[in-house]
Amino acid sequence: MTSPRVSAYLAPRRRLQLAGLLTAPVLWLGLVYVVALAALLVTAFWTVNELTGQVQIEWTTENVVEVLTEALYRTVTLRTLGIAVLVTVLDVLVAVPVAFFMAKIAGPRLRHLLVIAILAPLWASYLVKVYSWRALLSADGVIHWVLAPFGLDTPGYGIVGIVLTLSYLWLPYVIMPIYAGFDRVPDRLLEASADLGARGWSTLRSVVLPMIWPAVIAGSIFAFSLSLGDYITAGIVGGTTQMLGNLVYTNVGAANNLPLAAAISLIPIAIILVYLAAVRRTGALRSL
Amino acid sequence: MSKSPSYAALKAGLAAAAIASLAACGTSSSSGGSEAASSLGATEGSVSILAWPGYVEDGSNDPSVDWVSGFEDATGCSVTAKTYGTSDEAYQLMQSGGYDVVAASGDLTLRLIAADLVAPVNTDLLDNYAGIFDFLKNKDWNSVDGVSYGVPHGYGANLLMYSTDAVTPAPTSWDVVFDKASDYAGKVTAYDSPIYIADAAVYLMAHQPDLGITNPYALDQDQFDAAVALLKDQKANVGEYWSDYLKEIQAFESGDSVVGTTWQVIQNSITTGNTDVVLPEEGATGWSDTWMIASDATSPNCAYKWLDYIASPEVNAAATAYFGEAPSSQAACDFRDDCEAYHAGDADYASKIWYWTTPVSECLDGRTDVECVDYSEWTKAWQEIKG
Amino acid sequence: MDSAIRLRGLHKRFGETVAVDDLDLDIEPGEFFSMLGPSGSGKTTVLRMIAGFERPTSGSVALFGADVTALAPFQRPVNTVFQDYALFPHLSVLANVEYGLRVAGVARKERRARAEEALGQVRLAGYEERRPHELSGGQRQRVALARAIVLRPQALLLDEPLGALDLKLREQMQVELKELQRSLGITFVFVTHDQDEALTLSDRVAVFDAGRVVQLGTPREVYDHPRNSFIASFVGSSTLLDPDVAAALGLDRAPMAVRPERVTLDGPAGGVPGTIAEVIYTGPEHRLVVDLDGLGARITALEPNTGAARPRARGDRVTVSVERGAAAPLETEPAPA
Repeated sequence: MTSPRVSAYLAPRRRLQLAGLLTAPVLWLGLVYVVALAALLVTAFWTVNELTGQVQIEWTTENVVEVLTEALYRTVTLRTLGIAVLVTVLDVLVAVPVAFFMAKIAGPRLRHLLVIAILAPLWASYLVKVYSWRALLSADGVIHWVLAPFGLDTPGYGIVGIVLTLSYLWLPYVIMPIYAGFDRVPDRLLEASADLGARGWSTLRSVVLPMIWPAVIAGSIFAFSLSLGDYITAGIVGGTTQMLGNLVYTNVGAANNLPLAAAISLIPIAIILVYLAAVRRTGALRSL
Repeated sequence: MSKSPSYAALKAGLAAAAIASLAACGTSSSSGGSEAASSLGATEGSVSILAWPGYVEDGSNDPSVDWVSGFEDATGCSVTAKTYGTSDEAYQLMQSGGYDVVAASGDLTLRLIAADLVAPVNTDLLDNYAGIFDFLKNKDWNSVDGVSYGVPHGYGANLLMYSTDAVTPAPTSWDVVFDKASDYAGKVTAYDSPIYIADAAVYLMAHQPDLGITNPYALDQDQFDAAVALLKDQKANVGEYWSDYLKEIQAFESGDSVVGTTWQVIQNSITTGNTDVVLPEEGATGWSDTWMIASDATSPNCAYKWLDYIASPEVNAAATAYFGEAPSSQAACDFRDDCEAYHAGDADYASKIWYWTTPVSECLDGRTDVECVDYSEWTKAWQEIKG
Repeated sequence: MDSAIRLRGLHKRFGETVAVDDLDLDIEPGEFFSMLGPSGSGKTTVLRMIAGFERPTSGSVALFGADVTALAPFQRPVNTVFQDYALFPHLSVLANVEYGLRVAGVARKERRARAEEALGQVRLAGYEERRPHELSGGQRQRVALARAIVLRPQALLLDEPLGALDLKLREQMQVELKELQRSLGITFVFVTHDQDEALTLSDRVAVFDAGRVVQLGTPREVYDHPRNSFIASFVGSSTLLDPDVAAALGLDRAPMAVRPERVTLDGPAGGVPGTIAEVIYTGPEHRLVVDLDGLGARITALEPNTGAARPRARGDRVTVSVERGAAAPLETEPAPA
């Protein structure tokens, strides 16, 4: 059968075409993603052999109960949540004006340059960026030198360092959707709003924000969920601060207790699901 | 040399990863039915080695770092090497079989012996064994009831590093990171692993003799709680915990950390010259690695050849230098110019080192009237200390 | 009485480009005023300067006697209907129309009443809860109109408002626009590149070219007496006559423009002989292109479709005459650079 005949056969059969196109990726997604996730969730209810350290299929709620009842996990969860919220808020606060400038004020040349400048860090290794922040935040780092004349000092390694570093890391992921959101707001609409008597702030509130809100939510999902799961940044600029990811890492790596690690990782998954459900109620997901 | 220390960091960070409770088969129980070889036969033509990164270098990582080719030329045994990242990974790989030789740290060796995955080693068959420091032979982590299970490879201590600008006079005790740590609040650093609880125990051994600690890896609940409490107090003054040696180097160079645990190789890597290290009067924890032979080795003769070869002064010098630790023999020092820095062969220095061993519920110090806290509890406690 | 809109020395540059060149213009209250010109002629820029979206490089804009040159759009007593309507996609029809009242702080009840009234005026009652994307082009156009007139502006600015509509709808909207303007009694400033639209709707027309107004007058003045060849060919169609050809046709020896419908073929008084070179059938009319003998020139004539048994055909011999007064003398220097 020649290929033109194949396409002639397929042309009126769009469902078949679609099935042919989607089968492989859907299978892949199903196997790799869903099964892996399900396996993780199930693992949380297994146990480990004390002698060999191997996972044993022996049903128990011990791990989940431990995670839910022990003060350690509560403390670390609240800390992680606080960090993720702070990072998200900071990123949105920075991204909205930057994205607005890019989409609505900058000329095409400058806009092009800004897009490149904002995307460029994504090509750099995550570790390089985090280590750069480690150097920046250091006791003899740039931040120290800049702030010293004002009687201030670097925040050093700790929660502030984590929040600053994560905000930096995820900023492009927040700017880009919001930029696209602003880009989708035609200049005409801003003019129409002004023409109808609205001052800048009014226009922002009544026209721009409602229109870019889905983009802001999209950006916040990136910043929030990426922060929630991070552990490397906490390890490098966090000083003694532990996040949930660090507990997971310790239990996978050092303690070799995969079921407990799986149980801990249920926490950020639950938080993200709640967050997605909350933003879904606002209708923002539909516009993603 | 430049990248080797990261392996050390990686390795040490995870070396304490053993989870096994060896309650049923401590060092005193005889294990398995494997017998050491009484004589060597013809070599089999190939040997499969499982080791930490940096231990089996054939020049593919760095053309100037190659001690495998010499072995292959001399013995006709071609080498297949696999590296591992954690002691647990190594344990799993050894269980799956197919390896003739394994390089194991003190927290892995006993598990391998207990599970009968490695065989006793007849050291009489190894020409170079005699030259190895006596203080490394027939230790808890490489022998059972006087039966040797391997050849010592290299060792190092977890030292006290301090900034010479900030910490004066020069400390001689770990008290600068414990009872006097508040003098350096926010600038103290500590090793980020549950095994670090043993460092607190070493300190308590000297400063709270009432607790009766005789081995920092054999802590009953009271002793353990005291060590944990000490570390919780310490945490208020800790700037950060480290397990990545680069992070530690940078922190001391920048002044973010001024006092805390370290390795000799880190001191050697610091370029700013404002730090010094000391083995404090209380002693210290440390590590010692052992080459072992699998009980189901298909090439036991090549395996023996490798153990002998890697223990030879020149090769041992190259491998331990690349990794950043003290060699196993005095003769190896003829091929290294930094033996002094690593205190190689200093038996007095070595005796102050409590080599990493997996804490198990049957107390390693021989007590039978109490249960000791096992490593899984150490892991949990360490997470709580960090909070 | 002050002009509704008075522009003085209005000048606008974008970089090196002069968009509007020293423009003076007065638009009277209650007038339906069109700004007609090809794209890039500066008409939209003038409108945007009246609305306040662009600041003039120099010159002034006065609305009803008050200088508004430095004021923002929301401070000006005019409203705009945009070419693409610029409806707020996230708001319902009602909320779109209420928008200006809401930001002005008008009470909810009055807002609602006025919005309903405006929607009634554009014949869109009953569509209050629709979203813009659920409306047809014509309906969106009406929402945009309602949204602007609900604020009772003193002048309404319309930027090619019918450009996106199909022909039938456009003709219908033209009628409605005219009616609306009459019933509201306010000034409409209407930007278009469609000369039919401008002639149909306007009290006065300003023809723009290259940033200048090249002719200002009633539709009849502009159509019958185009000042130069650009206007003559942009507004309607004309045959441009050289002085020699004009003279041969018995007109003044000067550049002239003559509308096809003013050209007589085979008239009683005879005329210049010629041969039909092209016949274009448009339904109600025939457009005939005639080669004038010995003059090396062509002239276009228009004849109604009378249903004659034998319509004129290529190669037919005819005589061509143009009444004195039917041709418009042109300024020698045509405007386009």
